[in-house]
Amino acid sequence: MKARLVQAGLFLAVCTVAAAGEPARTARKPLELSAEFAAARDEIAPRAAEELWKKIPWKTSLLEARQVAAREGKPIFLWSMDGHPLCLG
Amino acid sequence: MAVDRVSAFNDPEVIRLLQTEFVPAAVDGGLMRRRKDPEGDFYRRFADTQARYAAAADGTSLAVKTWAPSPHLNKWMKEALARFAALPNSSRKPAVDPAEVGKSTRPVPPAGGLVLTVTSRLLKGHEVASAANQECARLPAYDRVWLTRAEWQRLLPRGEKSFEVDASLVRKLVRFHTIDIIGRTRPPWPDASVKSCSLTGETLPGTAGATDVRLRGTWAVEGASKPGPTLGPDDGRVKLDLAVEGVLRYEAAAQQITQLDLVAHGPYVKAGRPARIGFHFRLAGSEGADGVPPWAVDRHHLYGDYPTYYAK
Repeated sequence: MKARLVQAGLFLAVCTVAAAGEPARTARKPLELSAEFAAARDEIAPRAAEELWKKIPWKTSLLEARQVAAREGKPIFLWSMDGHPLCLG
Repeated sequence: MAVDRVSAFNDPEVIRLLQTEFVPAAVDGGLMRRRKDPEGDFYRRFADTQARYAAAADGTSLAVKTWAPSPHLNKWMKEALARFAALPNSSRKPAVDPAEVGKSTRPVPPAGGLVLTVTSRLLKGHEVASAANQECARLPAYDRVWLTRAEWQRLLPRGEKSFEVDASLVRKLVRFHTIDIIGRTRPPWPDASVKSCSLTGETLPGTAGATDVRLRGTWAVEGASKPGPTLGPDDGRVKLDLAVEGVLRYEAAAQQITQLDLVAHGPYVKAGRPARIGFHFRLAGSEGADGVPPWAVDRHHLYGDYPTYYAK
């Protein structure tokens, strides 16, 4: 019993040392903008209601769409605009 | 387009049909009509203008709709599905050469490069006052930035605490990616219209294994904004004064920029009307729209003598 406790203690000690030496990568905090620019970023950011179209799995390669359509036996729905429809305002 | 995106594709039934019954694709028809490759050839078999199309994989046209709000789109899609179901199997599941995908001449990002998404928006309280299309004016526009390896490495310090980001790179961001594509198409700003484009980096103290940088600058554009004949209204004299701030993290082990957030915002005057506009640059994700080339790429047919996109 005492030997097992010692073993457990040693194991815990090894883990603690290993964790202390672990690079900060896993706990790396993202960099923050200043308050003014974070607010501007948040104002520019699209709202959820403006991006429901992103729930659709759009292919931007018509040939890739064709491959999938042929394999799965589905029709292609193509949205074509002058200027990419997923991009311009 | 923004209004179309939001209105036509916010219907749950339309979304469901596109998720489950169709293979949805979105393309720039203006470029596709001119493409001399298998992708352009396939496009021209059933499409030729701005519209929604339903087609089988062998190119059989099922339906065309130039514009439709979502209830009509819903009905139109179901009619197309019924026509598709009536096709022979050879049309519904044709043999298609998998190698043809590799023969497309669509632009691709430079190898080893960096792709950013840039979202732009007329800021609150100023959108209605400034845009011809008031509905579009309230919605964001999206573009992408493609940087070569040499370009994105110019965002990094070379041992100094404070440094000026390479002027040609900053000028590229200003000329090509602070254009107002909200509700319209625009050419890049002429070189002479860029009055200032500074960006200074400051190396931040220590994150182990990473280089963190704060970026600050000012970007100013002023000049005539008269697009080509097909590109929408002439905005007369345009003035843009942007304050810029960003953060960037470069991870040495991965040799990659793993965070980039850059915001430029400020007053924007066009045709004598004041507005405020904002641009947010960040690392692109893996969504479909993030794979679309920058608006600025491949636009020679619209802009004639076109400035080179990649900074020298």
